[in-house]
Parts: sequence; C-alpha cells; structure tokens
Amino acid sequence: MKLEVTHLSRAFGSHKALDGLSLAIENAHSLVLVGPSGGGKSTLLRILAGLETPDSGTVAINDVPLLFDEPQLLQHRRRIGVVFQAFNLFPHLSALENITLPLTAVHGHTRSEAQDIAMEQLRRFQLEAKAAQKPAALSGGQRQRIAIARALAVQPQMLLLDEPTSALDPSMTAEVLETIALLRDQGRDFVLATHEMSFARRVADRIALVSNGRVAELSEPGPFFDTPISPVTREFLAKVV
Amino acid sequence: MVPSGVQRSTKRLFFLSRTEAEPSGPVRAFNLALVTCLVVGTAALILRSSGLRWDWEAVFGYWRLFVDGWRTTIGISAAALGISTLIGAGVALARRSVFVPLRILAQGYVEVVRGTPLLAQIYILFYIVADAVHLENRTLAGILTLSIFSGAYLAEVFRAGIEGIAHSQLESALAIGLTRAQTYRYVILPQALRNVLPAMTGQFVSLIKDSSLLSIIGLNELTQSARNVASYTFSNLESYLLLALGYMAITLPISILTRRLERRFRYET
Ligand SMILES: Nc1ncnc2c1ncn2[C@@H]1O[C@H](COP(=O)(O)OP(=O)(O)O)[C@@H](O)[C@H]1O
Ligand SMILES: [Mg+2]
Repeated sequence: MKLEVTHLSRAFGSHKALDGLSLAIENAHSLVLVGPSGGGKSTLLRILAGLETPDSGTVAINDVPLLFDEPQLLQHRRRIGVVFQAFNLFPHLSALENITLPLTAVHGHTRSEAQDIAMEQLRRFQLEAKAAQKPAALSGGQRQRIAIARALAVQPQMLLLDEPTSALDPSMTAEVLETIALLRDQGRDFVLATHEMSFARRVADRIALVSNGRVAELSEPGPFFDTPISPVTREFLAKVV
Repeated sequence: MVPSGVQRSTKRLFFLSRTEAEPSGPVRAFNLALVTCLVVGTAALILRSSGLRWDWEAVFGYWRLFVDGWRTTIGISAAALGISTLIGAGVALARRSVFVPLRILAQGYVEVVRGTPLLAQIYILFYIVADAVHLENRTLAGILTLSIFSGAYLAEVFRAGIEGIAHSQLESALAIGLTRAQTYRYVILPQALRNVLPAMTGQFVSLIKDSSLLSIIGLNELTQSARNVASYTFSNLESYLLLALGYMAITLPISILTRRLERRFRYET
C-alpha cells in the first residue's frame, strides 16, 4: 500500500489530538503505530477509517485522496476493515451473522453466498465450531478474531486495527496476535496500533512513533528499535522495552 | 439461642434463603394459597360489616351491554395501541433527527402531552380540534386522542431503548459501512425492542385502562356500560366489580405474554 498523510490536525476542544501529523509510506504491506497513550494513534486510525473528520490536512491511500463528505466517507468505510480494541461484535447476532451482515446488507451478496464466505473465513481461523454462538458466549480472544474475520470477509482494501489485544487478558493475546501475523504472511495491507513491542517488530514493514499528535519517527523496524534517531523514540523505548 | 429443627423448617416455609432467587414450587403454592385466603377473607369481612346485599340478577340482565362495552374497549385499545406505537416510533426517531425543527417539534409534543392530564386532552381534542376539522365520528376521535396521548409516553420508552444501545455498537455499524437507516434496522431496533418490552407493555396496560376516560365523550365502552347498568339497576358494586374484571381480562393476558417473551429473550443472549 501507499499511504500519504500531510499536516493532519484534529482538536477536541482546546486539546490537539493530532497536531499537523504527516507521514508517507510506499511499497509496504504493514504500518505499525506505537507511542504513548493519548499520543493520537486512535485518532489517526479513526480518520483513516472514515469515522472522524480532521480539522485540516489531507490523506491519500494508494494515490486516491480521501474526501471528507458523508457519501464519500460511506463508500470509503465499505472498502476498509476496522477492528477496535473491544466491543466490535453485535451482541444480538451470532458469530456467523456478525460476519454475514456486512456481506448481505452492504456488499450485495445473497444469504447463501454470505454464509459460504463467512464459514470459509471462520474455518481459516479455526472458529467454525463457534459459528452459532453469540458474542457473550465467546472468549475475548475469540471475539477479536471473529471481528478480524468479519473485517476480512468483505475483501477490504486495507485493515485498520486499533490495539486489538489491549483489552484482553494475557492468556488470549497470543491467539489474536497469531491471527494478525497470518495477515502479514498473506501480504494483506494493514495499519496496526499496538503496545506489543516485540510483535510490532515482527510484523511491521514500517513502524511509526506517534506522540503529541505528530510522528516523531518513521522507519523500518530494525533501525527503529536498534538505532532510533528521535529523542522521543529513545525515551519511549527506554520505558517500554 | 440455637434455633431448633422445627423453627428452621418453619422459617423455610416463608422466607427465601440467601441463595434462592425464587421460591420453590411448593413454597410458592403454599404462600399463594395463604395470601389468597387472607385477602378474600378480609374482603368478605369488609363486605359483611358494610351490610351490602348482592343482587347479581339485575346486573346479569344487562350482560349484552357489558359485552358490547367490553368489545368496544378492546377495539379502541387495539387500534390506539397500533397507532400509538407508530406515533411513538416516529417521534422517537424525530427526537434524534439531524433536522433541528423536527427535533424541537417532537420534544415539544412529548412535553405537552406528558405534562397535561388526559382528561384535558380529551376535552380539547374532542370539543375544539375534532370540531374544527369536522371529525364527527366519536370512536375515531377517541382512538386518535388516546393514540396521541399514549404515543408521547411510548416515544420516551423507545428513545430510552435506542439510547441504551452502546456507542461502541454504533461505531461498529458505521465502520462496517451501514447507512443510518440500516443501522436502525439491523443493529438498534432488534436490541431496542427487547430492551423496551417491559416498559412498552406497561404503557399498553395503562392505555387500556386510560380508555375508560373516553366515556366522558359518550363512547359506549366498558366503563360507560358499567355506569349505565349501575344507574338502571342501582347495583353499583356488582357493576363496577364486573367492570374491574373486564379490564383484568384484557390486561392480565398481556402481562403474562410479556413475561414469557422476556424470559425467552433472556435465554437467547
Ligand atoms: N472523542 C474525543 N473527545 C475528546 N477528546 C478526545 C476524543 N478522542 C480522543 N481524544 C483525546 O485526544 C488525545 C489523543 O487520543 P488518542 O487518539 O485516543 O490517542 P492514543 O490512541 O494514541 O492513545 C487524547 O488526549 C484523548 O483524550
Ligand atoms: Mg488509542
């Protein structure tokens, strides 16, 4: 994917969540966002997802500029898969129905097509036994993997994952990370915000440190962890690694 | 003092233990019988000392009137139930509309209707509004008045149901590309319906009882029938007892049905 973000700003009240953030990557499948809490990762992801509008700045994905008017945003959201920290699934629908809903309601598949696609997706994640379960009956890890399956089922242009493991207890983190690693192996394009540093290193083609609403450092994982340039990065890494 | 075995088992007959949420079948049946005896006994005592003499025969002579009134009440209630549900749903949506005048209108309607007695609304709508628009059919006017009244309460019930859906779900709906209308259809309504069921039935039961007020514009529903029979026969108590039974016969099945639906929904999630 190619991603170009220039001078993106978004304030909530007087607080600048994004403060002229710029970043550009090319020829990469995965971008991982790390940085301190409140740094602006979620806000950036929400803008990329078409869920939030910036006050100023531009975004272009694969050379297509993102237009921030509602009809365009709706189309954009339909091309993108999003996985939040938690509560992705609709509690009144089974795992299978959660996956088929966007397929039938948004992407024009028939019921039976949608079911085939959804079952295939569940099988790939070894979750087919959970197809009929409601989210309440699933573990946190299973819920997140089904959310990923739902996002993938519509063949999105890219996937945006906002700390998909940070609401899970540690015993379930691994299965979700494995699922994300699988995405990388398949060459899917995704942007992931995470606090799992070793995992970031493993799956990132590019890694960006987002702090105070800006990108402090953007490079490949090797240099990022071994020879960071920005003092902000060094300070952050010193705290978390 | 250490409680003896007898004391303990007597206690179990009347009190729930710490671990029980519901009484067991036999305990419930025993206490139900006990309470029924007490209530009926008290009522009998009161009636005896009031020196009242029953005269059911005169009242039964007018059974047709009661049946007609009862059927009218059911008809009016059923129609108002349907219309008020539509009004309630529409107004709940209007209160959340992005079009500001609609929001204000909806809110004003809810405030005015909930802030004034039904009696005043019946008089105003019937003697002023219905007259102005040449609506002469009393039954229809009654149904509409009741619908407008109940619709405001249902609008609040529905709004609470809609707003009870967590923000995270609306985000998910947006993220998977649902339109606003689709979000209502696939995400909000199925869950809201379940959440509002108890409050909604409560409102339906009120509506049925409130329909009794329509007797003041001369609708021959159950209350009016009872009143007429009472004045023909001078058997007030008998007439009004029948009246109460008539309403119970409509409202009780609704309550039971709802409880059953609620239980089914609970097991589903
Ligand atoms: N909807 C919102 N309303 C108010 N403040 C917000 C909102 N979303 C984010 N913020 C603020 O913006 C800042 C950046 O938040 P966020 O993008 O969530 O950072 P991160 O994901 O890196 O932790 C935080 O200070 C947060 O409190
Ligand atoms: Mg965040």
